[in-house]
Amino acid sequence: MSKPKFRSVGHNQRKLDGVALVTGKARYVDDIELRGMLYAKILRSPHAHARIVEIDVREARSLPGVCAVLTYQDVPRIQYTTAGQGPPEPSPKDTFVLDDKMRFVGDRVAAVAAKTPQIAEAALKMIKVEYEVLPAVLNMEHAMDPDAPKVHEIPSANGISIPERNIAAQVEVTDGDPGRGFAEADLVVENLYRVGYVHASHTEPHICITYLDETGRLVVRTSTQVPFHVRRIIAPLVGRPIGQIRVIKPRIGGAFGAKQEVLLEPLCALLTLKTGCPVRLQLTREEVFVSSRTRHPQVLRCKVGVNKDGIIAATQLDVLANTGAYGSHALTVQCNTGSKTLPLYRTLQYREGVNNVHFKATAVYTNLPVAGAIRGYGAPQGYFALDTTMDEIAHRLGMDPIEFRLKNLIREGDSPALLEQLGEGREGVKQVLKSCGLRECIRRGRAEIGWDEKRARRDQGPVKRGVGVAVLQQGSGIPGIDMGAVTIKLNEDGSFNLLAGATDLGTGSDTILAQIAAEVLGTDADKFSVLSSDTDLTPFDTGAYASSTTYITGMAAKKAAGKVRKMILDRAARMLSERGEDLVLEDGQVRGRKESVSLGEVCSDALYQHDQEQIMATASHISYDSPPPFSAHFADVTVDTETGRVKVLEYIVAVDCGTAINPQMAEGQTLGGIQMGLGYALSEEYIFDDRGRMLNPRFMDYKIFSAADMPRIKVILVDTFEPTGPFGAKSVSEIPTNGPAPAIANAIFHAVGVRLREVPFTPERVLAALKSRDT
Amino acid sequence: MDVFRYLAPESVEETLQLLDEGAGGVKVLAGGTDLLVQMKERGLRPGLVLDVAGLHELRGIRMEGKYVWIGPLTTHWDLAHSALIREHGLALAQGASKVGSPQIRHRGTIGGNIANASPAADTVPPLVVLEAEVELRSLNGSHWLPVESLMEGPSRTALRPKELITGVRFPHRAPGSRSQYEKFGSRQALSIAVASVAVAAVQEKGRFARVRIALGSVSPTVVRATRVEEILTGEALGEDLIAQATASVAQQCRPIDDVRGSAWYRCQLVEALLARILLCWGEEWMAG
Ligand SMILES: Cc1cc2nc3c(=O)[nH]c(=O)nc-3n(C[C@H](O)[C@H](O)[C@H](O)COP(=O)(O)OP(=O)(O)OC[C@H]3O[C@@H](n4cnc5c(N)ncnc54)[C@H](O)[C@@H]3O)c2cc1C
Repeated sequence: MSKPKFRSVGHNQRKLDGVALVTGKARYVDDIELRGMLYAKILRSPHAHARIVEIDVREARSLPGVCAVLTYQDVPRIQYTTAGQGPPEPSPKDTFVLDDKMRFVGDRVAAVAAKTPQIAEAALKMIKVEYEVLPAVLNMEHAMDPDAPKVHEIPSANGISIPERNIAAQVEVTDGDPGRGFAEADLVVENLYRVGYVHASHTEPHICITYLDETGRLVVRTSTQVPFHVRRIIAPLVGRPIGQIRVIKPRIGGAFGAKQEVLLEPLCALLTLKTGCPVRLQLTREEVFVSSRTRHPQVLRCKVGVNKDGIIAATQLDVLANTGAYGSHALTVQCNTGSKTLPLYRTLQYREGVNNVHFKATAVYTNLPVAGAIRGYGAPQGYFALDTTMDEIAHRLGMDPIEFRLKNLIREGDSPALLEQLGEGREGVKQVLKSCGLRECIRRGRAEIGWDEKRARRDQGPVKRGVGVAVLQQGSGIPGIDMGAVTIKLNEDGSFNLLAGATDLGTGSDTILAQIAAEVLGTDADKFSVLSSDTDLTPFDTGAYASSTTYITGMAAKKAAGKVRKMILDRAARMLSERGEDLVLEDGQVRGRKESVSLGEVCSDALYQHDQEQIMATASHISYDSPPPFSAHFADVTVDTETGRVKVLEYIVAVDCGTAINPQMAEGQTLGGIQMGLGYALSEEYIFDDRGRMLNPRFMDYKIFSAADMPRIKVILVDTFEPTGPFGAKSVSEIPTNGPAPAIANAIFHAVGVRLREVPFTPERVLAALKSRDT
Repeated sequence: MDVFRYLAPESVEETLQLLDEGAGGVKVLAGGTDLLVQMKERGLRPGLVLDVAGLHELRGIRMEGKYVWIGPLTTHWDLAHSALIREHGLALAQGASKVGSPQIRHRGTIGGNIANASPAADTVPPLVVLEAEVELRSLNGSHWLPVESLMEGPSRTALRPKELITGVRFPHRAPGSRSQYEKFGSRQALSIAVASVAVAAVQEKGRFARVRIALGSVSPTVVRATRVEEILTGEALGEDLIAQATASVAQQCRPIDDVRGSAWYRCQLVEALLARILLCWGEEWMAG
């Protein structure tokens, strides 16, 4: 497809905040000094399930330097959900800022604010708590047993599906007649898959600083993905109207979903309101592991039926998910496990026009750490089960795994019926696929990895080699829900201010929005000063999640820039006495047929000369489309059959994200997502003792992929044009995380003929699988 | 972290004096890669920290008579890159090269690795098979003790509170002898051994002599696999012998289940690592 040439979009614009970030000048939450600031620390439950019988804080309160101690007796008894989503929130309201019941090891017992962190620590030790220890639910597969302890009390259960069975949320959708499809299929493959707890591993821990400004308004400076949700959600909890709260998001050191949560802000703000002082609350790494948010562990039953020609007759995915002690994102993550995966494969070819798809998910409470949003949002779990199943079918049919997938993959113009039923916690929105570079992704990735030669390879010795493929999609924003708004104004020197609610977490969205606006305004992204995510200064945005910012807020930037462009051209036409349609806006100049004026001159004219006005505009954008980006992943691995070690030698990712607004950053997102996915596939896992205590809450023992572990990765950006996105763009940030687990599982099978159905594929697990096959 | 005194003595004598006065509340600080973690995260509260990093006489690698002498402050980085160590005790260079990450290898020292007495310490199995000794010095004098005898339990050694490690040595490589170290960690860097194996032996007329095998991370201390040594001694390397040796190595371990691996897996690894070393030697011995 031939596309228009862009001056800013599609170029590797340097990140606007890049130099400040790498020279240490950029300011994160913690990089301010406020006079009289107090340090908060949290006392945490040593028990997985317990009730506080008595809590005595007198000694702690009397320790010199301690300014406040809060327990459940001191905070409003209001239930909320920590999940940062728009109202009506689809997650159950099952959380108190502080409660008298402890639901996991690490749950909050009390909070202290003191003049130094050391005093705060000392005060924690002086709090005397008497617990009634309760039996705990530590195995998700037994959470629904009739005699299982109840994690949440029935009278106070709020938006919980079935509290008496520990069911936080559930969803079930059927399209067509899957039962008939399976009955008629020539081959049905059905298996169980397991995925465990995973950490988002953002560099900057959760942190928040709250203070009262000179007018007495509450200011919340926080490391969040969702500043506007924070403001709305904490208002009732701290007893202040929204207008009396300002939320500021400075630079963020990564979040990956774990900060789509309103976790620290209410507690920190209550400490500020109690003491009148600025308060800083930062989690330790151990606290981040144990008490922030994780990926949902799941047990997935995946069933696919095909006819002998390799045409899929029916697909079915049954998911049991562990949401931990609270139901943050319990419903929506599980919805995504189905909606982001199953539509990738058509089931309507088998019997013309009829889809046979069934999806069911149940999220249960346990007395274990709380799951929530993490990059991929349910899709990585789903793809591990679905894509591995597809690989297995291909093998059983004696077909090449790629050829089998190609027969069944979604095509432009398709409209998966499942998506109408399955939205984000509510009914979905009909989607018609308008851009799909999937086949091109597969074609180029296949060539790059040398698929055909490597599939034919056979090797000797204890170390075996194999290649595997995985095919993936995601979405771009939540259709009909996500909204982003952008304000742009012009200055006398031809520079612009761009104000966006959107939340740059290190993702680069500030730069992306500037590139899009610059394209419309015929200037360079460097001419933009971007201010994002200050609820007093910027317009609204739902936040940085669901792969939405480039696609949704990017379109708002394009629209706002379009309005500003019109104002500029109208005024320039008057200044040049020319007709608007004869003017060209480029290189910071408005060129007429005879003369031209600079953007600065246009602004000066507007501010000081004629019909004075500020050239500025605000625009909002919402989309009823959520166009999926597509991707094909290829892993070339070795499996050491004596130690079980799986080594990834080479990894190829071909991704269709529509127009890459900034190819280098799109590649960076992809590499980062692969790094997360590799850890998920091979080495990352929470290990618990038999009382629900995490044994490895530190990076020495929780193994993310280090620089030395990274394979050679090649990213191929496959160009397509998404008509509903800004300059053809779709999302790119979450999709890469979906691929490594299935691609590597499939490569391991190719190497040694063993299917791994539980992540991570640690050497020990792989060796055990090899041994059990051999006996 | 609590308040503690910090002193940086300028001589070994002064250090010994301070250790003698300190009556147990003193900790020697070398690279600090174990000590600081213990102080910050494990509640270790010494009253006095003695920073010995300035004692240059405790650094370096050189020939001394029939020994290779190593100063206890020598870093893993320097060990891994020393031609002398590679020539006379390849296993030790390999062990040092597998410690932590480049940053840790530049700070961490052999003395600290020995004194810390972790069953997973990467220089200890090589030192044990190389018949290394440490010099322990106090105001009352000094003596040499085999590294193997020094290790009494996890984090427990025969090193007395008033003693300083002032030297490490092992004999020159005898003709026909060789050594090798294999570590299995769960990733390529920053990975404590799940299991490790060091082997040293002499080849005399195609047969094994003076075989020493040490195992890491599979018992409360680094242990010798004496049973396996006996099996190999006097024999020629061959498939049967390797099978026999690996089949009996697990019996020499007392592994635990922990976050790094199960006891079962540790035994599997020890077998695989030992087999790997012997196979590789076998091929080279056959070849020439
Ligand atoms: C991130 C990380 C990764 C690591 N990875 C590994 C690894 O893969 N393999 C491994 O083996 N180790 C590893 N370690 C542990 C550590 O780096 C090594 O044990 C190192 O050799 C310790 O040396 P040091 O000089 O830092 O000792 P220090 O921390 O300074 O001292 C350790 C102990 O030895 C004592 N000591 C030091 N020198 C003397 C002396 N001359 N006489 C008497 N006592 C003395 C100290 O008092 C202290 O008790 C790792 C540590 C970290 C932090």
